[in-house]
Amino acid sequence: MATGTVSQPMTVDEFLALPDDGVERWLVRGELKEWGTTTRNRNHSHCQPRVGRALLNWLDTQPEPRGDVYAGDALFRLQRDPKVIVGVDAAYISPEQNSRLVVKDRIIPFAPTLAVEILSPSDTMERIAEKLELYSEAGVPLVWIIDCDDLTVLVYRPGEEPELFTVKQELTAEPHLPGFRYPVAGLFR
Amino acid sequence: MASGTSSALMTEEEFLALPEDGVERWLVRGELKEWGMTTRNWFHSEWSALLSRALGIWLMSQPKPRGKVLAGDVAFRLRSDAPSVIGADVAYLTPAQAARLSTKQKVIQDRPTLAVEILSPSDTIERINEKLELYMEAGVPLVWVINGYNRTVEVHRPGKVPEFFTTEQELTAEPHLPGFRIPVLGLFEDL
Repeated sequence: MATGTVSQPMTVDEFLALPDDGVERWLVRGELKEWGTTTRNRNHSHCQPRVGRALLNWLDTQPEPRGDVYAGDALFRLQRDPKVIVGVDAAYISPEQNSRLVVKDRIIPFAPTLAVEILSPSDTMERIAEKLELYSEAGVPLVWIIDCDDLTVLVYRPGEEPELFTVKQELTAEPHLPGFRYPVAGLFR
Repeated sequence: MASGTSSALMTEEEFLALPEDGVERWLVRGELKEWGMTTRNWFHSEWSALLSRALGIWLMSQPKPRGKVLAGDVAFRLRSDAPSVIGADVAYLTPAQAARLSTKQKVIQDRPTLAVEILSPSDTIERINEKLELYMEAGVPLVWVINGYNRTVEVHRPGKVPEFFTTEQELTAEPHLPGFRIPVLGLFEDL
């Protein structure tokens, strides 16, 4: 869908009670935003586990206590009041953030340290721009936008110009993922 | 519209006979592709004007005969075997290409030397990537994708990895537009 539609204010409980019908939904400042059925093409599904693998392989090398990696439209509450909840394709949370999670959390109640968006064919510029704005408002320190057709990763950090990484380069994530290095090409192979 | 829809094969003549109703249409390898109503908001139009002015100023500095700068969904035929016709937001033609133009042509029969896409809010990743693929396949030497949301320009050249320019940098177009330089910020603000 090209544009989101907005309806009446909604609580987190109401939001989580919505059917799991393939429609992508965000809760933005208490308002439900629907983006229509997401079309996850082959490239998207191919790339997502590779991002997960890259992050998990790195995580395994880290001293305990470790952070954690989430993938597959994981729900994060980016903002508490007014509430902003979005799904994230892949994310990393720091050891300190991980220690704050409790079993009864149905969604992750804070913004991730790294948020990864893998672009889908049906994504509009408007949707991408709005999500980046929500991440930026929430102070997410590192955002990767992965384009599986262009074979690029666009890296956003607050207050800095975006940086583009191509298949000829290695992706790093200092200082948030210390020592993380991964060839961009490995995300698409 | 989120995605293009395909129908039966079509000739260039049939394509050009379609009504001018605001629906964005491409002819891709003989197939009609419709993208729904284009939403061009004011900032899209401003960025288009700023870039056209910069290209125009550069053009005036060039010796005659000069190339041409074209703006506003200019129709180009990208292939002759399987007709593909798409619109470019802004384009540059070399002096040799400009000399081949005639007002009788409804569609420019050359590929542009520089094609510029200025992203709109309703543009989908699918539309952007398909257009880039058509340009690259046609051998368009230089394509700029202007993204006003993050104030960047992605530069595509056939067979090369894309290059990326931010507002801290200058955009050049060597060797195709010799001597052209503009600060990327100048594409988004009247400096």
